[in-house]
Amino acid sequence: MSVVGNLLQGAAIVYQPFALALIVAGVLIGMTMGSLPGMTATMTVAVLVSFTFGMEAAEGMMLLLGIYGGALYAGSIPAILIRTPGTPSAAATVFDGFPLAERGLAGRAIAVATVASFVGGAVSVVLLAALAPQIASVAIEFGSAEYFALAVFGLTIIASVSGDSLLKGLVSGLLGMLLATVGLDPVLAYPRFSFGFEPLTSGIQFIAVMIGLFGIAEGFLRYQRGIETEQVSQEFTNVIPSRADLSKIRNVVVGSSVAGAFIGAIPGAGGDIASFVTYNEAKRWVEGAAATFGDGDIRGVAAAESGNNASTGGALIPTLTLGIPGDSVTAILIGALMVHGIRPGPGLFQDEPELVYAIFVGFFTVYVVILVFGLVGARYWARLIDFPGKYLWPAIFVLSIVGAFALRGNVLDVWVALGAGALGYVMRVEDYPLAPMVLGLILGPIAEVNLRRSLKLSGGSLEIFYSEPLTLGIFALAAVSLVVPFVQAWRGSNTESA
Amino acid sequence: MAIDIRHTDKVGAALLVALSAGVFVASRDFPSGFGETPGAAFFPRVIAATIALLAAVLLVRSVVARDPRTHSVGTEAVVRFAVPAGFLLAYVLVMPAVGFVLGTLGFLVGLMWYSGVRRLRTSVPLGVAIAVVLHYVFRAFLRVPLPEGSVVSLSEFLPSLPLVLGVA
Repeated sequence: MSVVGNLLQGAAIVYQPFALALIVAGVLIGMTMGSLPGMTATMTVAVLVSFTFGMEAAEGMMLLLGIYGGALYAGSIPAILIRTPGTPSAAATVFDGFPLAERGLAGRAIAVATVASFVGGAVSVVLLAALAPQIASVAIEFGSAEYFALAVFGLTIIASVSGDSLLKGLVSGLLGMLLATVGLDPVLAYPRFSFGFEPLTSGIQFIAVMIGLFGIAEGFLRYQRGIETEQVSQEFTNVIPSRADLSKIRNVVVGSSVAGAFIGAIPGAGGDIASFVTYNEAKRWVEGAAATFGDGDIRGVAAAESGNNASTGGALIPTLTLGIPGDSVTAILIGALMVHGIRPGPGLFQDEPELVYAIFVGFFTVYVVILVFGLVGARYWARLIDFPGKYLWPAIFVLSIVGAFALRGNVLDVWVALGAGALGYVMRVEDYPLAPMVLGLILGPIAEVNLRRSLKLSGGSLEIFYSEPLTLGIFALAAVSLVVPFVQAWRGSNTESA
Repeated sequence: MAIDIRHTDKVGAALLVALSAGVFVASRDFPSGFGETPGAAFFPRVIAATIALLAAVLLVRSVVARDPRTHSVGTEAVVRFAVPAGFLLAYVLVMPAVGFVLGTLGFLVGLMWYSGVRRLRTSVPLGVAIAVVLHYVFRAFLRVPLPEGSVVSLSEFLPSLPLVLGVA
């Protein structure tokens, strides 16, 4: 079927009352949670993913994509109003958004953030729809050696998403890979680390781990540090961008949107990295920005917001085409599809084209809804910032427990979520990043299965991994992505000591 | 009163080494692969060995730095963590006996009270609303039944959804 035909088929799924209602509900939930400081898109999607288990896969995706886009956008509102990003992706928005609010221009900053988020998201979805089928058509030819190389490449990204401690990031990723080995061995079907406990032979549900890591652990930390919320003193009215402002941000938004989408497409690099990179690049390249960025320049808000929202469509490129998550949220989307018996990867484009194109059309629609709700209702989302944590966190704990239970109607998954919550809490306290663990959980099994299949095919010879230029090229990329952060860290420490 | 917990980095690294050793012990009976292909123990052992190696590096770095990582833990901070964790643990342990609706109500009212919602006139209706809404959403719309209580089950007294909303 032609691309237009596929898009029409996707639109036929999305433009049904129930699917549209789910998009609107998802955006509303996402914007509500994103407006609350510290509530990440990952946490919201992890805690609410269980609501999609009883739906058709495409309908579930509409809800989750709405939450994803909505939360990432709304993180800008507290970033602008109280200097506290609602989500980590909005951290760079603070630099210029808050100074604007201090000058009484919060409405202008939010208007720019809304338009930039819409353009960023929409551009990234167009790029996704244009590039993903091409990548999938190439990837469908991949054999086990290429897949192993890709999984290794994905895992080396851990080094670049580990924050201050590369070693701790690598340990976190390896712990995720180790957790994923619990259950039946994928080649010999031998139960590993189940210790005679039958329910463990079916493995650890990684969504339960995600709920624990991002929902329960966050709750523990919040209670320990205090659940009081900051009051908003800023009132604002005008949230419709002026023509002059639109003209001023046009080039920054377009450039940051394209850059953000490509950064988002790098496995493990989410909205937070995208927004910092696009903000810094805009500061370097835009005329006069070096002097004004950081003092309330609307182009700074536009660069950060278009960059972080563009990362969402980008993140779906490796997720849908290769089954490798672009960020933590898309990792949960993979899990949600797997609950429906659907495995993302190049085969998805052949087996479920209507689902893939429904995702493209649905995600574009999500950003249209965000634009409308953002411009019309920004004042109302701003009021949510000081919503009392004393009501919120008990409810989030309940949703976490229910979400884990609903995976398989199994109490084991609840204990897994609780265990992951305790582990995530300790890891956060000891500065171990959590994102690498998610990558390890998903990529570990892909690496193992394809490594063993490759060796079986080659009779145990490692030649299979360097005889084909493509495999070798992917390994070379993996080596570069592993070495570069170490070199950067080494250079950084040398500069400091000089 | 605050207690200083020193050397947490070294303890963490030691625990990681112990975990790696545990993986090797637990995988000693795993079957080997066919011919030259690796068996079931190969991959977990490669991961465990790498974790042990990285943990050793973390340990050495911590010793060389001569600046032990220290966490100052006050009684208040312990209580702030332990109370929600205790509530959560009790919630999961009690739910099989009292069911989702009653268990959730008790958990929400209790944790909200600890969190500062001291008016039962606020917390009880809120707890009931959340528990009942989730019960219906999961049972009727999402077709995921939540736990029924083996001792007490309030959900038996809740009308089925067709009576409430006319939805099958």
